[in-house]
Amino acid sequence: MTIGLALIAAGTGVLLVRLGWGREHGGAHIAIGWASIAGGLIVLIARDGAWGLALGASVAMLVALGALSHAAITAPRPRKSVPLRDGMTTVTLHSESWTGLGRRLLVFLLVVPGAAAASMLVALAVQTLARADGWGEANAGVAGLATFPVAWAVVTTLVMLKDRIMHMVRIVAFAAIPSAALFWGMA
Amino acid sequence: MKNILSADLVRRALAGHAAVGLLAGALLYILCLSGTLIVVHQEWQRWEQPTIAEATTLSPEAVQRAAEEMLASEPRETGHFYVTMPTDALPRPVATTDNRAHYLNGDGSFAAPEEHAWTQFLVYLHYYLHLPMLWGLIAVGALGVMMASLVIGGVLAHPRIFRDAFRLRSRGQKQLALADWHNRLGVWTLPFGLAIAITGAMLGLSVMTTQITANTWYGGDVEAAYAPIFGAEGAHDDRPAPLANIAGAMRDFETRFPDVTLSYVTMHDPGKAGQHLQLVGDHPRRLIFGEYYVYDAGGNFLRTQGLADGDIGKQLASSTYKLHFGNFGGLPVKIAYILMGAALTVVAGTGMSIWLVKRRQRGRASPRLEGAWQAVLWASPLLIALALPMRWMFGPEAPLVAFFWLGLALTIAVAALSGDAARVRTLLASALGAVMAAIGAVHLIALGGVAQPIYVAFDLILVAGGAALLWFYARAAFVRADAELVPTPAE
Repeated sequence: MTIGLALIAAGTGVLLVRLGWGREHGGAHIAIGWASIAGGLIVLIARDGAWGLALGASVAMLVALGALSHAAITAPRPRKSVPLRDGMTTVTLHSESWTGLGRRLLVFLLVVPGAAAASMLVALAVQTLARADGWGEANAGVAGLATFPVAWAVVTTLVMLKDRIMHMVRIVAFAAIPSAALFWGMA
Repeated sequence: MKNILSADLVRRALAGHAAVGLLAGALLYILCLSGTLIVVHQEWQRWEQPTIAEATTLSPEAVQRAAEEMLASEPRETGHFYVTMPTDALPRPVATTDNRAHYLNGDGSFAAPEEHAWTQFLVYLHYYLHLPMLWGLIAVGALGVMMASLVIGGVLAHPRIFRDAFRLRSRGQKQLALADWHNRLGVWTLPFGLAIAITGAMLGLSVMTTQITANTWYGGDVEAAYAPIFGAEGAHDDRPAPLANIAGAMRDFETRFPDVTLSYVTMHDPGKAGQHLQLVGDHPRRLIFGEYYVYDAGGNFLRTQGLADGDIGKQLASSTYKLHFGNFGGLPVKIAYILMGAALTVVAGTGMSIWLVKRRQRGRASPRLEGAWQAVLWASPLLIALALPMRWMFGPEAPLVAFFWLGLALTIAVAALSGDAARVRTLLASALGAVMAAIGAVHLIALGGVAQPIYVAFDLILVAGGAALLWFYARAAFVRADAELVPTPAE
C-alpha cells in the first residue's frame, strides 16, 4: 500500500512538472511536482532502501517518457519555408591535415590509456587510504572497484573540456601524481 | 543554468561530447541495442526452444537425482555442478557442469540439452562484444566509462536543460528533430543512463581493478582478492568421496530461511573430499543478486557470506547486477527497462546523426560516412534478427558471431561505397521489418500446440514491429518512387 502510494506520488510529480512547464503561472505546479517526486522517493528509500529508489526512479522516468511521447505526437508540422540554421553552439572541427590527425591521436591517448592509468592510480590511492583507515578488506576492495570507472569518467570529461593539449595533460597529471605518491608512499 | 555555465564552457563541453561520441558511438549503439534486447534474455531463451517441458518446482530429492545422474555420465572431469532453480522468468530448471548444460524435468531427470545459441550470441554480444572474455569485459567496461562521460558532458553542453525539458519538435527540420530526440530522451533517462553506465563499467572493469589489487595486496592471487567480498571456494582435496548431500542442504535451507527463495545451487569439487555447497538465496525487495549460504558436504549449514547484511561494500558490489540488468521487480520493471533502454539506444543512434547533419549544413557533407552510419544503425538489428534463421537452419553450432561481424563489416563497406544514406536506410529498415515479421509469423505457426502467452506475445510484437517498419520505410519508398514517375508541368 505504502509502496503504491509512493510510486503514484513520484509519477504524479512528473505529470505536475509537465503541467506547469512553459506556463506563465506554472511555478506552483512545478514546485509541487518536484516536491511530490522527492517525497515519493524519500518514502521508498526509507522503506526499501536502494531497491525502493531504483523502483521509484524507474516509474518517474517512465512517466516522463510518456509525457515526451505525447509532445512528439502533438508537435505541429513546421512551415516548409523555415530555413536551416546553425544552433547557438557548434561543434569545433579541427583541421583534417596530418597535424590534426596527430592531435586527435594525442587526445585519444590521453582520454583512453592516459586517463585510465591516472584513474587506476586514484582507485589504488582510495583503496590504500581505506585500508589504512580500517574500513576492512571488503569495503576497501569495493571502494577501489567503484572508484576506477567513476574517476575515469570524470577525468575524461574534464580532459575533453580543454582545448589545448597541455591543459589536457595537466588534468591527467593532476589526477595521477598525488594519487601515485599516496599509493606508493603508503602501500 | 545559463548563468552558471559560460558560453565558452558550453562550447567546449559540446565539442568534447561530440568527440567522445564519435570515438565510441557505434559500439555504444550496439551495446545499448543488445542490452535492451537481453533485458528479457530468459524469455528469449524459452522462446528459442519453445518445445522444452517446463517445471515450476524442483524438490531437493530431484536436485540430488540430477546431480548423481549428470555427474555419473560426465564425459570429462568437472570442478563444479550447478543447478538453476525454476523461476517465473525461466520456469525450466537447468543443470550445468564445466562441460555441458541440460534442462531438467520436475523429477530431476534430463529433459533436453540447453541449446539457446541465439540467445547466448545476443548475451555475449552485450557482455563481451564477442571478444575473448577478459578483453571483452575490459572493452565493454571502457565503453561504459565513455557512456558515463557522455552523460556528464551532455548535461554541461546543454545550457537550457530545464527550460527545454518537454520541448520535442519531432516534426521540425531534421537537425532540430534529431537534436530534440537526442536531448530530451537523454535528459529524462539521465539517472537510468548514468546507473547503467557506471554499473556496466564496474562489472566490466572489475577484472582489471581486482588483478591490480591482487598484485598489490594479495601476492597476485585474484581469488584471494575477491574472497573478502564474494567468498572463496575453499581448500581443494582431490581424494574421492561420496557425492555431497544437496537434498539435505536444500531441506535445511527451506526451514532455516523460509522468507528467502532459493535461486541457484553450486557444488564445488563434486565427488571429492574437499567438496562443499553454496546456495544462492534471492531476497525479496533487495537489489542484491542474492546471498551465499555455505553448506558442508554433509548438508550442514556453515555460514552466509554477508552480501545481504554484511559490510556495505559487499552489499554495494552485489547490487550492481540487478540494477544493470533490470531484474529486480518482475516483468513490469523489465518492460520499463526495455523502454528506457530503447530510449538510450535512440540517444546513442541520433548523436552521430546530428554530427553528420551539422557537417552537411556547413557544406561539408560526408555521403560515404552517412551511408556507413545508416548501415550501423539498421544492419546491427537486421543481422541480430537474421542470426535466428541461421540458428534454425544450421543448428546450435551455426557460426553466428562470424555471420554478425562479417555481415556488419560488409554492409558498412557497401553502404559507404554507395554514398546514398537515404537508400541504405530504406533498404535495411525495410529488410529488418520483413525479417522481423517473417520470424514472428513462422515461429507462431511452428509453435503449434505449445503456444504459451509469452511466446505468442513475442511473436505478435515481432510481427507488429516488422509491419510498422515496412509501413514507414518500404511504403514511403514506393510512394516516392511513384511520385517520381508523375511528370511535372515543365515536362
